[in-house]
Amino acid sequence: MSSDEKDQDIVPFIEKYVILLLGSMERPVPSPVHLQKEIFILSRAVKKIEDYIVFEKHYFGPYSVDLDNASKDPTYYPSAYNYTRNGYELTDKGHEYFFRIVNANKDNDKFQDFLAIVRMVRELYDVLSQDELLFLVYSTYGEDYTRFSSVSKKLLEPKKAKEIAKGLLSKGMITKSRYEELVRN
Amino acid sequence: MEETYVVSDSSFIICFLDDIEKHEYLLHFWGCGVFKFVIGDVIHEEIKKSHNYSLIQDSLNSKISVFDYYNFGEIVRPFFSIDEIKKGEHEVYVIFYVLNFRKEETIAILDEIQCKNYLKSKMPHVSIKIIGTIGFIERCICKCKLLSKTEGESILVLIKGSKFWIPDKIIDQSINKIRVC
Repeated sequence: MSSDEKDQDIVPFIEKYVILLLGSMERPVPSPVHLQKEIFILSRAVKKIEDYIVFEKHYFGPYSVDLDNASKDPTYYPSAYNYTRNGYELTDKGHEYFFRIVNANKDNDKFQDFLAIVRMVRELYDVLSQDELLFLVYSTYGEDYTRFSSVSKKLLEPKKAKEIAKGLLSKGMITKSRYEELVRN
Repeated sequence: MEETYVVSDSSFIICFLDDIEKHEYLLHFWGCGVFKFVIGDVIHEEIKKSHNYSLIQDSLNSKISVFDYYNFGEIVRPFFSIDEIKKGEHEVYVIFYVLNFRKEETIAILDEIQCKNYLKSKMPHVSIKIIGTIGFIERCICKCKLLSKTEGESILVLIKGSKFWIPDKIIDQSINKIRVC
């Protein structure tokens, strides 16, 4: 398969995942980093996503260039979403696409469960600051994605790590055991 | 009556299977028509390690839904410790969330106190449905009438004398509760 043919196959799927992520809550995804990491987390749970989106080591941890391209300029779902100072959000057209996709799968139980976990990802990860999000990704997935990261060293430095972990604990985002683990490392 | 989903952690099953060696009660709960038990992949693997697993294997395969088509626990992995993840506590959280999203009547059984409190804080609107093994036994006696008071009390006494970690005080309180319910 040529690179162009491959692109033609995967792009609509990537755009569809972005639409589902954005449509699952009535608020924007805060930043490009959030968009990348939230879909990365989803790809850990739903292996099928890895058929379309490959995450590589990057300055800001796991990153997909295809996802980045799709998030900037959707071609199969034109004008579906845009990025403003509030973050990524669906346009009116994007909402139409979203409901069309959801309706087409309304009798598919696994799709309904997929929607549930997409929403769960949004609820949990949208509220993290960029530092908190990156810190948790680096701490959880370690060497696989931190090698070329410019900020991982800074965030994983003991004093900074303790400060972030303490904040996450006080916000009720992590369990006590996880806090102790993060501080110990 | 519609069956209530029950998402349980591994300690609930191991309690009956190994700690008090009364696996027949698990078969009773799974086949009673009141509950529909659900576990995740990590919890399933944890249960398989039991030397008594063969006693429940057939029943588990036919009566319990194993939600393994997604790696549900991965969604919350960054928020839990390695030990909690090994035991599958994080999986209970995600599956419980998914079933609530489906608007199914669902109970979660979590015995690890930190994880239980964490889940309650994350899903306060359904915190009353997040219980422990002891709470589930109480429910089977007082609400569902699946166990007689005598049976229930004898299970609680066995748990008290077993290695299942739960303070004696909680079990004594539970015994008093079931006597008057």
